[in-house]
Amino acid sequence: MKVKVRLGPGVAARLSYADAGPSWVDAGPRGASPAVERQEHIRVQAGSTKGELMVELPDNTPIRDLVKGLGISSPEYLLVIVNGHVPPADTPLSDGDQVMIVYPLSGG
Amino acid sequence: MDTDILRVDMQSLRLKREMTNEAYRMLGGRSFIARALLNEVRADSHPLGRHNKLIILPGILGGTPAPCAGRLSAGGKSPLTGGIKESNAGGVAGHKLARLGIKALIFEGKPRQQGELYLLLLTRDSQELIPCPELKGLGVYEAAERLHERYGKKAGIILIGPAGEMQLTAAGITNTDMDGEPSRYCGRGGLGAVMGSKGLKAIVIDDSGTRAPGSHDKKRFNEIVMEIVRLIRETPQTAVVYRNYGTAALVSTTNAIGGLPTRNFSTGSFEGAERISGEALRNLILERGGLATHSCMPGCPIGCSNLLPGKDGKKLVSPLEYETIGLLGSNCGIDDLDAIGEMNWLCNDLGVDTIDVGGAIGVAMEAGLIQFGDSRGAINLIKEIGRGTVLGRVIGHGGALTARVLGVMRVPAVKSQIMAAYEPRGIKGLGVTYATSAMGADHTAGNTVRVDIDHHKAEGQVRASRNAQLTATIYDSLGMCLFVGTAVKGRIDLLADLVSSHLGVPCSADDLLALSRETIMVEREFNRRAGFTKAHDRLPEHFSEEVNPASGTVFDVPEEELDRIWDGE
Repeated sequence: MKVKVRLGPGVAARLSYADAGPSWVDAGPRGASPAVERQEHIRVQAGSTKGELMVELPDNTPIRDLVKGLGISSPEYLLVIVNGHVPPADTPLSDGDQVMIVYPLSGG
Repeated sequence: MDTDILRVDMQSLRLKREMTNEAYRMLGGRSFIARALLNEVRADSHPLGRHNKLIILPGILGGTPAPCAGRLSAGGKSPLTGGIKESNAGGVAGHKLARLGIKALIFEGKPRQQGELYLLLLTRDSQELIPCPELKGLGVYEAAERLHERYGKKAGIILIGPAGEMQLTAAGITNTDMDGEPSRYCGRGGLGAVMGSKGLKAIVIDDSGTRAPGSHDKKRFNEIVMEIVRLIRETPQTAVVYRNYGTAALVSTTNAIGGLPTRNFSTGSFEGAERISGEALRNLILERGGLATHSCMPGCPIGCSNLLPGKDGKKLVSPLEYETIGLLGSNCGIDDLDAIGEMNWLCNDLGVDTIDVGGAIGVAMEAGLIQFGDSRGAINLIKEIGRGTVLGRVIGHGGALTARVLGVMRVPAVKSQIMAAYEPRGIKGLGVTYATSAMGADHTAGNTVRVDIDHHKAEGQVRASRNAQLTATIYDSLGMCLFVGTAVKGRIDLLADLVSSHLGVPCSADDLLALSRETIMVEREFNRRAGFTKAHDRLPEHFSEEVNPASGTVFDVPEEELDRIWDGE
């Protein structure tokens, strides 16, 4: 199945793009550089951009595994919005889901 | 260390410096304001009359090297809500007052003759009230420039614009940032009108020759400061997101969950959101050679502020923030950052709250006075405030009054104060805060948007709001920026250690939470005496009856739960 993933401001995936060649982006906090566990079953499709990815992944993959597979820094700080909702991290994703991954803030 | 209260009687023009009462020792910022207003101001007094008092002070950690701890609080009975009010801002004035050894400024009475205007000049060795008729009617940018010419570039300035002088209830009190820019607003609740009613245009603070207030256990204090700075640098929000995108980074989040106020809060998602997002703002700033990061006060490692140049490359406004983008942008159907920036500058110059004025314009658009998306029309409405016309005064009194005058029922306000840029059906925890805070609809009173919770469900929202309100009250009393909380998270013990090592008195996390709860109870007691009941702790009924199309939800947190919010731990 495929899901569309938007990355919010300051959120960057750290993985090789399946067809676009390696494109490692590190927008993590200074000094923090966690090792990325490669998830071969999560593939980013051609045509994806830095902020918007088309991701192919096995059916029923839970939200948590998508985040892990994309290798996003400091996952403990993330908020994942799926189709406008904020479901628990173990919720399985469905084909066509619109996912947005952000570091949540409060405004001023 | 000893700090004093400076009382300024605006009727007799006498000043009195007094030792701080022991009972106020652990209080600062918001907690001081709550206690002092309950003790000293009759809750049924007229907010613009001689019995109300205007209190201006730093937080407990003001003047210290603790990160982002120089926020300035202003308080009094609000002419907008009719209840208690504390509003705070960054800038340099909080630190400077603390360096002068001033715990709080309390302005009492009002001039016998309406129209008399004064400035209060504070230096290391003196304090005096000086008549300033030459500043009458001046916008804050020109007023600040003249005052800097007269008293030096380094002086910190607290001041009001023409809206405050006109005693409009959306008027705020601003202070200068590190560049001398007077754009750091204690914006909410009409405290600028209270300052105007006292005949006070400005407070000039020259802290030359002073030192930072000493801490009881300096070594321990510095250790905790380093620990907090480490957390700030390791947390993505404080290290990367605020720094690169400012608070505008939030646009994409609230828009995605149906929580971005759009066209007078009729929906929670805006088709033009990308054009007013954090990414769009950052790109525009960098393209024009502005500053994507900027600090409003010394000792801020976060730098959420920015400077947006106009098309000509000259400064348009600094800062441009999320709430302003939400209220003057999407709430008005406007997706043009240049227009929003111009509106922001105008609001600042006139001295009005961008949230309440954004709400007023949204309401005027719903009434058909101008069309949604009409940025030139919106700019003209703001200019009307400066012209002092009846229409301008209506807008300058905020969204609730504007709705009444124009016959609009859907007004996004609680206790007559317009909601900030979080749609309460899309982000229900904010709805709980708007309803139950003694301050009226106020996001800073307890923001739940970054809590990991389904914002569309009613369950858990009261608890989330209560926790956020208790935490926010601690920060507002320490004078510390709430954004530090993103990094410190649950480590209230670190804040307690700062307080105990600074003041030399024992203080635990539980003590701070107890003090916070007590402050909230004192605020509620003031409002009870002013005539507020649980009927005031409600959102306008249309939020419970009409669906927010973007989130597909209504506000359905049960009223009994709202009423019991303070019964829980």
